[in-house]
Amino acid sequence: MRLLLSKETLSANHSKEISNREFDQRQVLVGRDVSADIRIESRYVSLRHALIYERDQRLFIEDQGSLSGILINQQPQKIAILNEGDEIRIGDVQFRVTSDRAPYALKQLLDETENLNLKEQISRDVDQLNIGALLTKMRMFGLIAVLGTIFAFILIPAASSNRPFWAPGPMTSAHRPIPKDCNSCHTADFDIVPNAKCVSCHSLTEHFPLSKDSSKDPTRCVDCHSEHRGEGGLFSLASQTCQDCHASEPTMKLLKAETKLPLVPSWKHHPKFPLLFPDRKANFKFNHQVHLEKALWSPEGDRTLDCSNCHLSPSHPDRFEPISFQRDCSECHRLDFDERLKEFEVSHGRPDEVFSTLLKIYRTQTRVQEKERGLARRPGKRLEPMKSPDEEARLAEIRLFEQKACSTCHVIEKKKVAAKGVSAYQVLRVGFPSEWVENKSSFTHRQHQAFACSNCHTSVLSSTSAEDLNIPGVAECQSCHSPEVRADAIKTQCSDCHSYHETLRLPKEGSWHP
Amino acid sequence: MESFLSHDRYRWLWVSVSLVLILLAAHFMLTPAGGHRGDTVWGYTLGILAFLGIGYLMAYGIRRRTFHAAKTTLKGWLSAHVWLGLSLILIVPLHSGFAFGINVHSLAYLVMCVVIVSGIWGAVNYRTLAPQIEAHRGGGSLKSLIEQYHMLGENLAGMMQDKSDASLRLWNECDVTIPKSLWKLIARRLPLPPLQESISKQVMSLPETERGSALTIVQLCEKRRALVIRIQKELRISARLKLWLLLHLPLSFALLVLVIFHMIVVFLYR
Repeated sequence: MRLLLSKETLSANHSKEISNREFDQRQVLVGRDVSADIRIESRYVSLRHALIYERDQRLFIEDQGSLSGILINQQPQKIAILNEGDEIRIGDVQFRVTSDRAPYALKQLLDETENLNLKEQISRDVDQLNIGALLTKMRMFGLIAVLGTIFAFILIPAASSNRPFWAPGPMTSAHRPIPKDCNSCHTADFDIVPNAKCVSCHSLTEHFPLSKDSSKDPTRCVDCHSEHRGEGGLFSLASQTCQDCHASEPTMKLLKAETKLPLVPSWKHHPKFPLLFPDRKANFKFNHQVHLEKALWSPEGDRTLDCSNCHLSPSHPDRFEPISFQRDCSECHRLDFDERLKEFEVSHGRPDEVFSTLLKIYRTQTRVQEKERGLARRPGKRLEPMKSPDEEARLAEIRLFEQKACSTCHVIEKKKVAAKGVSAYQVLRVGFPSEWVENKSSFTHRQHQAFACSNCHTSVLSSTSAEDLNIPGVAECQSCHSPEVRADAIKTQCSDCHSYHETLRLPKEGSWHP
Repeated sequence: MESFLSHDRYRWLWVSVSLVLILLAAHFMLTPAGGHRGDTVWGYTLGILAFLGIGYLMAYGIRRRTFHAAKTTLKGWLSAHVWLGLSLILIVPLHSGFAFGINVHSLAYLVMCVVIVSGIWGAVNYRTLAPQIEAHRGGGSLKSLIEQYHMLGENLAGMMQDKSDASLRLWNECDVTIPKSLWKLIARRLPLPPLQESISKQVMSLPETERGSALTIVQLCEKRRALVIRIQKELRISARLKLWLLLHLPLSFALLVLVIFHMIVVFLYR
């Protein structure tokens, strides 16, 4: 049998070298023994480990009862036929069957460990077991962690247009019908939602004036209404949101906001409610103090009035019914005008209407003249000249306007010239506006129903003039709502009373209720 | 001896505890409408505080690599690093109003917690293991242990060159080797001594001429085993002292990325 053994070794300069040996003998012994043909000095190799021989023109290998056996292609074998490409492992040495030369050739592969000397082995182990060296790779780990984070949590979600992983919280349920695509609202990546997107569904013209070009809006809807805060997040308007601008001059200037409103950093600084008509004249006489006295005279017997007798509870959520003479005053304040015609009263109305009513009454009621004549027949009395119904009407008018009814409450002016058939008086317009203060709030009486009126309308009980303004001021609000006044103040946000930049519709001066 | 934990009479522990208590008290006293959130003034305050905190903790990494003399000691820095780092576990949830979800913002907190917990592990390891490391060395470094191990191996190999297979079998039975992988060496159980019975059986099967050297083989192998155990213990200790940094440092940079991204998203993506 002829067998070529080529052995790989490392030269001094660490390049691979191959040395060849040829066997031409019946069998080749592999072992640790000095007499072995292929000698392997290894603790795992027996003195006589394996025999390689030819039979029936095939190459065989056979275990000789060795220490560690033979592995052919990683399988332990007692005896095996060797084919080209087979790998043989004996101890820690590896051979490969090659076709380098006919009929048989083996190649002893390089075992790097075997060729190391003691010093090299030590330094190899020291290197391998050096934890410090592992830590010098930390920069690489850091880079991997940073790049991995950017990739996994920033780039991968960025690839899709739906990025719930970036949102700080769930959306409000009302907005769920909006397609789950960030760009449905954020027009571009990392873009703040423009007002135009909100207005495309919500008509907000009442809420605050939008400019035609939404990019020029000084404020954005999302500045106050932040989405991705879960249910209710859109409407949790903190005072802070308002005070971000309204508490400091620099921010107001920064936003180039034009406002005449004072800065309100806290309740303490809340401005007085601005009167709509500071120079108004009431042109009316009314004494709250007298009307609220106990046991007031009335035709039906003594009565004690309270606020709700005249100020009827609102039909409108926050308006009281306007005072009506017919309903509120007429029970006590009768509009009769003639001792002789006690059953007659004029209706509460414009002077001309009153006068024409008087004329009508005197012209039809001849009874008055008959009474006069009856009186004339009495002895000792001089007959007075009979008055015409028109004269009677004029006299009654004077009684009504100047002495008795109208002037009790109204300011009356006498005309210089009174035309025939028309009243000689005019009643000055009553200065009771339907709104007293510049109402920028959504205050409602309903929320305050538990309290007596005089809790807030403190001046009413001592008010003697209709000129008195009995509307509560900021101080009254502060007494319950301002933490600066009381420690257990009722918590109040700006938005509890005010809405955002609401356009104001002012009432006309002196809306008059006959 | 004063450790980095008790530095300056636990000064930084007290700073950290009082900071947390003050913030907790303020948190329950200030209740903005709509509850606590990151975008209230208080939320921003806490957020900025936490971000500055992270910056300060990471600055320790720069400080410990600067060797020129400074007014502050490295130990003081480490003490502040540990105690202030722990306080962040609470400051960050206060910032968010304890709101968590499956999102990149909560992930930043999670990563921060992993960084802090790995830091706690590292600190505990330092406290418990630093005294042991001196004791285990027995005067020799890891390198000298490896050297001794290989010298013994060389001696054995030289001795066994012309010995019979039976002697080799005894050698292989008794001997212990160092695995090539560091991880295996750290994780593997300490090698047990060979079974007395099987050794005596092996010795009985030796040829007469070789029985005399059997004792030497067993003794040398036992010495090698002792060396491997020492190497293994040594490596385990230094692994526990150092490997936590593999988590602590890279994740702290990942955290920085996430925190910056968190700020970009909440400020720009509204």
